[in-house]
Amino acid sequence: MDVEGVEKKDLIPSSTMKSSKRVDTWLLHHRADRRQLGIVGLYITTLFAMYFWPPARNPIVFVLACALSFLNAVVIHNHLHKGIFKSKTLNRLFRCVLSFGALYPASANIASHNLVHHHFDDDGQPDWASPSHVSFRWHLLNLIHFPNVVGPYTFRGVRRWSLTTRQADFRSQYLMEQVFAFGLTGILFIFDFWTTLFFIVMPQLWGARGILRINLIQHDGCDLESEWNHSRNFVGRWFNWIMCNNGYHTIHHNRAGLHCSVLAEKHKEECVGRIDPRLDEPSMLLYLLRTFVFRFSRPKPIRPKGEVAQKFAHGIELAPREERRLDAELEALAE
Amino acid sequence: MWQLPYELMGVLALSAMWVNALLIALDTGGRWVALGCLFREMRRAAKGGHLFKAQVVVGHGEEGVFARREVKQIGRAMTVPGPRRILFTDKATRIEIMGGEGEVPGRGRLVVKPEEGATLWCELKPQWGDANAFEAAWPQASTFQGYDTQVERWVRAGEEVWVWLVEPPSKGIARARLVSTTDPFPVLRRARLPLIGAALASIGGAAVVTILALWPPLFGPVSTLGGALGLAFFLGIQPVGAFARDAGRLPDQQPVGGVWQQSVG
Repeated sequence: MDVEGVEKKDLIPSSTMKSSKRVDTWLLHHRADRRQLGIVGLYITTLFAMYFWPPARNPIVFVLACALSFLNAVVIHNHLHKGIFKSKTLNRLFRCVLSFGALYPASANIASHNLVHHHFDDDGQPDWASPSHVSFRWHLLNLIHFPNVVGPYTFRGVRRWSLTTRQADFRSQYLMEQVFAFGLTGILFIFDFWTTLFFIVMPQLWGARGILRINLIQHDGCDLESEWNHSRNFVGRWFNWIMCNNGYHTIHHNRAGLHCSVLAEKHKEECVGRIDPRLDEPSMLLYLLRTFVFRFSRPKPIRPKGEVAQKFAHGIELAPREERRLDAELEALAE
Repeated sequence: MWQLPYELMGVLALSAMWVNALLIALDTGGRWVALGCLFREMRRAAKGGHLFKAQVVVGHGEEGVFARREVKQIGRAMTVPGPRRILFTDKATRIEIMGGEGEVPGRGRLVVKPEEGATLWCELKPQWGDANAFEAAWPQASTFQGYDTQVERWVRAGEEVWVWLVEPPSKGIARARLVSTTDPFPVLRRARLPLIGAALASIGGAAVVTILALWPPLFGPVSTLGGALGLAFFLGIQPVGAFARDAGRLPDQQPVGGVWQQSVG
């Protein structure tokens, strides 16, 4: 498959293709990515504001930094699917900045998310971030504990994958991101240990662990073998504005090459009516409260039965999963 | 705006560390307890005559196979500097107990039939082949698809096995829930050790870190050392817990993996 061809086609959302409005800028592949840059810029600003300016060490900025840290990890996810900048060098440098924000090398996402998680356990290899890794009866404990288990599994898997990757400069890029992220954090530690621990590292870890928890939130109880019912979607409008459309998870799994700005539209076009309606949650907050706070047991898996299954079975042209996996590998190699 | 006191932030950091340390302890400790229950159940079965050593006389499977475990693997060429090597990762695992007849000391011959869900505990050691086989596998291992292979272990006539039955044999027929090629008791003891170790390390480590971090004066040199160790502990105990979980898996769930290195000379 022609990787370049795939990218060009997918960069242009159908809604904007109808008009003649340009979607790119001189710097970015997509105008909508200015929001992602804004998120990261604001996040790094809040971190350094708290570090250098004591009045900023207040509850509002601290909570904001934690929230932005999670969004920084969302940007890592998006950026590793589709590089934001037209310049490959800028994309690589931006990964370093993102890595500092999350205190883990952003390029880990290529193996852990793009290549493994997107294909669940299709080829018999378990997803490193599978919800099945946690099994407490009280589901809230699973949510809290999840990163403790899947974090080590993920980084061990990435390390193994890096031994066999044919992406020529992956290892050097991965090393550079670690040196930048841990080096900069280390320097901050040297100058002011406690401020760094409380106001830099705690937000960093909140985001890094939060993005791992999303795997549990978006896939627990779903049918991973299904083409449509493998993911839970959060379809609130404001939520998706802030989350750069990462609430639309089914379409993201099925068509990983789509730019995040078109996911809402494509979700309506392709997923609504094909997925079990119970997997379209209007609000993540309500879902979290209902699932993890107001109940103690793990919810039963969602499986459409009988007529319902029939209703959702009507098809749409989706490439086989093996083919989609190969595309993802080729994209990773080309990025 | 009200500034967050460092003491409060310290409590927050220690709380986060403790919650996660306790969860790791609960997870690994829970698995330790579960394996302990299994151990005791097996010991009762051994005393009651439901778990015993037998010699396979006949296997009811094809070519006289009594039981088998096969693990499909995918091999990928390693791209790091050094000798040519293929790194293997497990895919699907398949276990089949075909059953057969076994000679049990003091009880004579028993017909062993598998109960639904019966499993096989055995070690699997990959045997990939010689230099020519490596040369044949290398090109495929260097592709995206990788090199598919399979590791197998067959239990046949003449082999000694431990058989755990669902209930006492009736009319010379025994229904097996477990067949093991090694003594299951030491296996369970070994599996439990890392689990309790991780649980104790988790709680003990958190306690030591807390004592150091709270050493007066707060945020002084010893307290700062405690803070640094606390961060290191928080980041380090997670892989320790994950390692213990893996080491505590039963033999039928243990991965095989492996690295096949090109033979030199």
